[in-house]
Amino acid sequence: MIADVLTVLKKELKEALGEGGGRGKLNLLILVGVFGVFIPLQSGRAWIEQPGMVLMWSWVPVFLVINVIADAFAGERERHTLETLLASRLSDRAILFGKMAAAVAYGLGIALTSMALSVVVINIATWDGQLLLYPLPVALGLAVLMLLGCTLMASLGAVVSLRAASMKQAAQTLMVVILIAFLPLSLGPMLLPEQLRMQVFTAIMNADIAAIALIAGAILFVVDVLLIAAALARFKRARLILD
Amino acid sequence: MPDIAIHTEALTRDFGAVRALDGVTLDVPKGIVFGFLGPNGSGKTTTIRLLLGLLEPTAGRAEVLGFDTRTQADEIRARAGALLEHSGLYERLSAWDNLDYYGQINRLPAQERQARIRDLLTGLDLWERRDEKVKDWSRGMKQKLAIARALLHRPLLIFLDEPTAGLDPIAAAALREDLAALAAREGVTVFLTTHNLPEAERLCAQVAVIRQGRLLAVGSPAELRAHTGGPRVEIVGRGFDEHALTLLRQQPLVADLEVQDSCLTITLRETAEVAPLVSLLVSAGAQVEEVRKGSASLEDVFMALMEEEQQQ
Repeated sequence: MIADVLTVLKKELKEALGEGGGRGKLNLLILVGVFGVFIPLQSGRAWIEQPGMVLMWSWVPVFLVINVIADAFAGERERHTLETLLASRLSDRAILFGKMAAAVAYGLGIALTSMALSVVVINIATWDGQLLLYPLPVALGLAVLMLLGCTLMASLGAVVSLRAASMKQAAQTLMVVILIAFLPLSLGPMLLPEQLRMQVFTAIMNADIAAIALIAGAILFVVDVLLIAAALARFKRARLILD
Repeated sequence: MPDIAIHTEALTRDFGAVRALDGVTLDVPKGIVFGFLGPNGSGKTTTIRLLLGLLEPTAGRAEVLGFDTRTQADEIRARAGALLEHSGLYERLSAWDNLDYYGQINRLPAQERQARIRDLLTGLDLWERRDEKVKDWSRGMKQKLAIARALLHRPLLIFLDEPTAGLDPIAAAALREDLAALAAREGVTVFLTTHNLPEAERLCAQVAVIRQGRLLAVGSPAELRAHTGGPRVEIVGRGFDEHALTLLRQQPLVADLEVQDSCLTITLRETAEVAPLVSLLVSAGAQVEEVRKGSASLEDVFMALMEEEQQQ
């Protein structure tokens, strides 16, 4: 089954990366430029020395997954290519996991590329004779959190896209879900009194990042497993044909 | 059933209260082009979906290439190719990438896959345009590519759901030619659904006629024509009055007569010389301008079957 998953993954990535032609590729470059150059330069050495800073941006790849996953399911059905795929020898699971893996690889690939680029940029911009790198556990932790975040969006995206009438509707629904989830996190602190907000910010910066990451990772993992199970239950040939 | 590609027994499928397929029993021999004819909504696409194991029958059973559609659908899909209602091509990918993807899905080794893609695209005059994105292609070219995709892994059986639908007459004729040549060269069994009767007549060794999910007739086009009506003569002229027609009706060879405007159509009981009939008409005072011999077309058969079914 792994070979089949990889076949689907490669084709999905080819479509996602080729979409929009030169303009699509330029958009990707801009994205990497913003998260790999612009924002890290604004933060300076803190981007690497204070992992909490990067943790705050680690949700970015989640957004990148939305269009790819919506296109992979709702888009494929909308363009009438899904039925032919279902009439092939591929198993339901190979199709489902191949498409989800492509979305995860897309989001994670861009995020990790941006992260690696940011390390180079910060070192060049603030060079003091010593190479500045993320400690290995921090780098691994961030990568795992991003992976879990992308998987969360890919599996949620699969469930939503399989019910949506169109790719546009699927992407909009996913965006609303994300906003509902992230709005309290981003707007909440602004509603707090200035003094309390500074205390919370300082507490986060001084907190045991490893513990926070571990708890977040565990929660994400459980939710991922539940959503993948839901996607597996939904992705059945006979049901998809009738849809 | 070693020589049977498809075997169904009382195959039935309901969608809620609607019976889309009603007790279809059918045998499709291996190695032929089999036409499944019927008007829109008659159950053709549902039949293909059932035979590919994409849907489960409500009742009855089907075997495709010796495999049960309920329990061995994976085996069927691995050995069959399909061009369904829509071409199913990835328009943002090139022709080559489309075929390469399905080649990988069907686990063709890289070298064999490349050679096979080259062979099929060359045979269909698409090789020069292999790197173009499919979205820029005409519908006829897309259909040809979709047929190449269906044949890529050398399936034993291919399902083609209305392959020429929506094509202009020239593109449809070209596609039919390609299809006939490919089917003969590959020795593949073709299960073709269509409501284009001349197309079925040209391509198919056997046809089945379906309406509202019920099978009305099965056989070779010639058998169906013989069953529905014998050879015919069309005579264009004037003076086909009752006297002339009565004389004709008295001839043992004549099965039926019909006059429309200036055209007299005589259905014969068997193929025979028509000169005596023409002489008879002339002696009765008719003026004959043109005489055409022919037989009932598949379209006539189809229309007759539809009328019979409606009357029942």
